[in-house]
Amino acid sequence: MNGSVVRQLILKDLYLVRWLIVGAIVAGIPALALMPASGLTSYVGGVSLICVLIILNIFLVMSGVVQERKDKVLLFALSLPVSSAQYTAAKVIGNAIAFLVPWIILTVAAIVVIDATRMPNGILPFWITVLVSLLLYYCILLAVGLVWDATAAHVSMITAGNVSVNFLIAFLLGLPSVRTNAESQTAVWTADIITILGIELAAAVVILGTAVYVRSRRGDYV
Amino acid sequence: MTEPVIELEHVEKSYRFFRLSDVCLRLDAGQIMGFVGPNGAGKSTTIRILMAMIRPERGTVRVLGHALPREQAAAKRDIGFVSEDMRLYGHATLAWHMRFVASVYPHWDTKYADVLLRRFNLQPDQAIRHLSHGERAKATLLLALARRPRLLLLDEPTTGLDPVARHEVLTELMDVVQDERRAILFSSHNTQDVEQVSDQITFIDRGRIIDTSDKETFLDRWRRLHLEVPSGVTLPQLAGSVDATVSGHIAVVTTQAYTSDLEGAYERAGVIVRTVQRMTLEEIFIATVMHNRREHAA
Amino acid sequence: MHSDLVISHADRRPMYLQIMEQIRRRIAVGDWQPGRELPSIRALAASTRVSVITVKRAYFELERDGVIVTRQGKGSFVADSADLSTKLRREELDERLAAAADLGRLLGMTPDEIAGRLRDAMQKKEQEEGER
Repeated sequence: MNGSVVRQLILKDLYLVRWLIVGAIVAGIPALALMPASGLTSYVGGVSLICVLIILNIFLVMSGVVQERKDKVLLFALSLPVSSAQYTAAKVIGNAIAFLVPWIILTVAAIVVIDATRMPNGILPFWITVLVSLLLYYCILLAVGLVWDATAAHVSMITAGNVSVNFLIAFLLGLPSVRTNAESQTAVWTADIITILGIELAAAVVILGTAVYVRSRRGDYV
Repeated sequence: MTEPVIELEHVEKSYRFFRLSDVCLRLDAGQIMGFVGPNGAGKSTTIRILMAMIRPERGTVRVLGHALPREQAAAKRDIGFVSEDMRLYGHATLAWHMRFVASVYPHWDTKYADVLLRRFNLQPDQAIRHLSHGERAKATLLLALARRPRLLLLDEPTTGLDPVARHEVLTELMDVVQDERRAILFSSHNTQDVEQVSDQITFIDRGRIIDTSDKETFLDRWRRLHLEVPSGVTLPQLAGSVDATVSGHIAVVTTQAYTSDLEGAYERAGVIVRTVQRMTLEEIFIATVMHNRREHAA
Repeated sequence: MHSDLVISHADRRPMYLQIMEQIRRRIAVGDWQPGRELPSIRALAASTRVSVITVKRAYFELERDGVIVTRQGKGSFVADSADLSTKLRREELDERLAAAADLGRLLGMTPDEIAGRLRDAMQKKEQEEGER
């Protein structure tokens, strides 16, 4: 009987952010369309795609998690027949689905665009690494949102996150394996790229998992 | 003897600038308890502990026979919670909220919900953010009442409501306890409302329960005596007297232990008793808090 | 079984006394006949918006005064005493005389002075009756 309350909470959260999900997918399409173009246009398309996912990330965490706590709307959710652990689980799952749906769609679309168009497939490892880093960024922001109340913590995190994404992109573009294979028609998965991908995915799981654990241990939800 | 609906024993909770200490509370089925205290006294904290939103450091919490926080989901299945600072989802409508709550609770009474919509004069298709404060308060109350929960925990349900809305809310609350298996705990600043509908009354100040009793005993025990103390006579300090204001020959004594032979006791001491006044709950509450604070400062 | 009792906040008397008085009045004027069933305590509490404990007390005191009778599991009923109306009226008189006594004391009057004023009031009433 309780599983259904969790399901209702998740569906409720998805319903409330439905336009964000659709908007992210819709905004990502022109960005993807620009990527196969040459020079500056391609660059603008790529940056726009990254921006769309970062903006989605920020909105989902801030309005879905942080604001709900600030506005005391969570009192309504907590008054439902759920344990606080179930509420946290529902929040994380619902919020994550809201991010993952557009992220998966846009990532798959990016792969298709890179593969099907004149874009060199050699750039694929770079793009996958960048897109997965955005997934990591989301997990970090969600983790911070679950654990900390102060807006200052979130703003600092968002600033640090954006700067880090820039640094990561510059770093990746500077890697010899990326540079040499950028123009080739086949994707080459070198060890360093795979290592970075592995670190990103592992970090995402560990950070989010730790935050959920810390949140559940805390007794006070208001 | 049925199990109490609420049982708090020696509950403690510390914050940086505030401490809830040794809170003991008991509410039986069929009763309404009024929870009265100044701002910051700990009313909301106590109610949230009953909802497992806050975990106390010490003490036991049992609600509807369930131990909290372990069995909170089971307990909350039959509790209706309304808090003055609670918000609903601003962009959704009241109808959406009603559907949502109905999908989560099997006991949603659609007919009663419609009656309440009319009685509270609410438009279900309006977005929550467009409702006035009073309408939002009534909407939140509707969502709790229409489920017919066994226990209602209401944190300031009538605060900020106009007199007509208050009247309607009190009517619905009194209707709830026609079923003697149900109970209500509500906190309020409005001592007149508390005095009118409560069976049990609990006073809280600065994190401590300072008095709890049934309403009639409260109103019976407290009196204000207007006395004349002739020259040469000393005003006796009788047990239960909480305050004595003396100016010249006139003395006003507030007592919390009034009995029918209190006047006699004063008269035997040579003091003339002019009037014996009953006190409103508000006067009793203020006298209790002041007396308690003086005692603690000493 | 709608009772239409109304509790006033402006009336400074305790609520249970107000309830008792209104029930007594209905019995005294004959609207509530002996043997008639009273509303259940909880129903009356809900209709007057007054706490259950207060209504319980009112019923308890009325039963102690012999005005109503409670049968276990069945409810409360207006007592069958033949001279109940008179009994109630006498009780009301006693209450008012007690109030008059209080006022008199406040004014510093002696029992004789108060009795004198009562006599004046009764004579005045008789005169008014005679003039009609």
